[in-house]
Amino acid sequence: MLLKIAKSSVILGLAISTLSAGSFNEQAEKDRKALVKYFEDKFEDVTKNKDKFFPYSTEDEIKNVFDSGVKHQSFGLGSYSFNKKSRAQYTEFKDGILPYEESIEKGEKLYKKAFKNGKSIASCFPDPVIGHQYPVFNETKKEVITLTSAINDCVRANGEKELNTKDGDMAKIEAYIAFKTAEAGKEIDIKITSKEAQDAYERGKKYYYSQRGYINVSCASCHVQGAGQRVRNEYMSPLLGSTTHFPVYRLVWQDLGTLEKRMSGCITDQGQKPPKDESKEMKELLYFMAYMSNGMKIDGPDLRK
Amino acid sequence: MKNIYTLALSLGLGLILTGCTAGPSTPAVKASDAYALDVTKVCNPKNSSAQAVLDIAKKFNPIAVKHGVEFMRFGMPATVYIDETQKAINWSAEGALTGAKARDVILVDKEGKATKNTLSINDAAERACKFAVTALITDHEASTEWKLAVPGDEYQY
Repeated sequence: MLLKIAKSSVILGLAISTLSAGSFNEQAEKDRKALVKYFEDKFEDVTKNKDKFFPYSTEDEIKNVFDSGVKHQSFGLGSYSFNKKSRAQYTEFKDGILPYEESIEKGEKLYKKAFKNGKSIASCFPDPVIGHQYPVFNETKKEVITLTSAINDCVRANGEKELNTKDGDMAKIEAYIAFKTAEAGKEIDIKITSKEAQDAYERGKKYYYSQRGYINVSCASCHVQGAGQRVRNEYMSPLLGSTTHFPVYRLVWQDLGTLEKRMSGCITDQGQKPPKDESKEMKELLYFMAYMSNGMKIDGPDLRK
Repeated sequence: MKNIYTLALSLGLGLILTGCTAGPSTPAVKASDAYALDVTKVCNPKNSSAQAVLDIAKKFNPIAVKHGVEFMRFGMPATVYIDETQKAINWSAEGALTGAKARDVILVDKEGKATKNTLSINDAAERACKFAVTALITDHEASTEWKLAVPGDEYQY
């Protein structure tokens, strides 16, 4: 009898904890689905939606630049998902010698290279197929850990000098990890399994949608409401799928850079001093952004203007 | 002699305990003090002086830094605007006594190195002040308005 009660209690306990874990991402799931719907609605029929979503676009752009009927997974291509002209250039580039190919090879060497103590980054992450799981909420430390901070944590724990978080060796190691993760066919899989993780997600969301800087715009002004609008000669990319392809080789950088480098650039463009790459603010912002791309294929490293 | 030591020690201890050594207390500046300010008016050096306007920047910018919302233009954060403007004001004040020529504010790049660009003291003080005050106003407005942009929440399309 006692054994039966004990068994039932364990099963009930497990059921409750599973249910609770599921409910912590309830709001995030609602947000993600609403975002997918928003972008699919926006690009369902660009001509029909001109007045609602593209009031400043010319007739020529509507007719010759935009694609209609863009679906969820396609947004991983950024603005190339809806911009026919840019996509043609991108495809042409992808058919040639990719400027980041060498970085993947160098990244693999750095991943395996022994520290002074004989260990390596591979000792911290024996399986490089991890790009889809980051940022992760560490329930012991009660904080978000990005791939960049996880690599630097590994480097620091082994008594080595931490890596530059924007480019260089960090970007190369991340390129190798992204390549292996993409090769394994993984989709972004960010988890929210506690109240603290949920709070971190909410703070990241608030950061993303809050107007800031002397330009007084939010990230969303350009990459949600403004996605598809033209600023000078560039069409702004959507939030949906914005973390699937990092690190990226940007033609304007002439270099491979991390997601942190890109976000720092965006916040600087807003007219605000960006948070440090391993700060709580930056990590929580990336946690929110990555969650919005949950279920989308990892496609990094990649190429962008 | 021993009594004098005891008296001095007691007096010193008394002053410390009563807080007399801290001087006259000034009320702490709060972010909310910035919300009702008319930025174009209070940050205009013509209405007061470059130093007065810069003092407003000095008052509010540390709160903006603390809130993580400090403004920055071309790699030059408001803190650096304040520092560089103060240097130029001091230089000009000393110059008035020594006969040296007044100088403009030197703009620096993100590494803190001087660029070839300069700004008049009045313009730099005005910018520093506007940056410091507006950063707090924007942060305050965003705290209530951000959900208006969230699909599935208050954003309607």
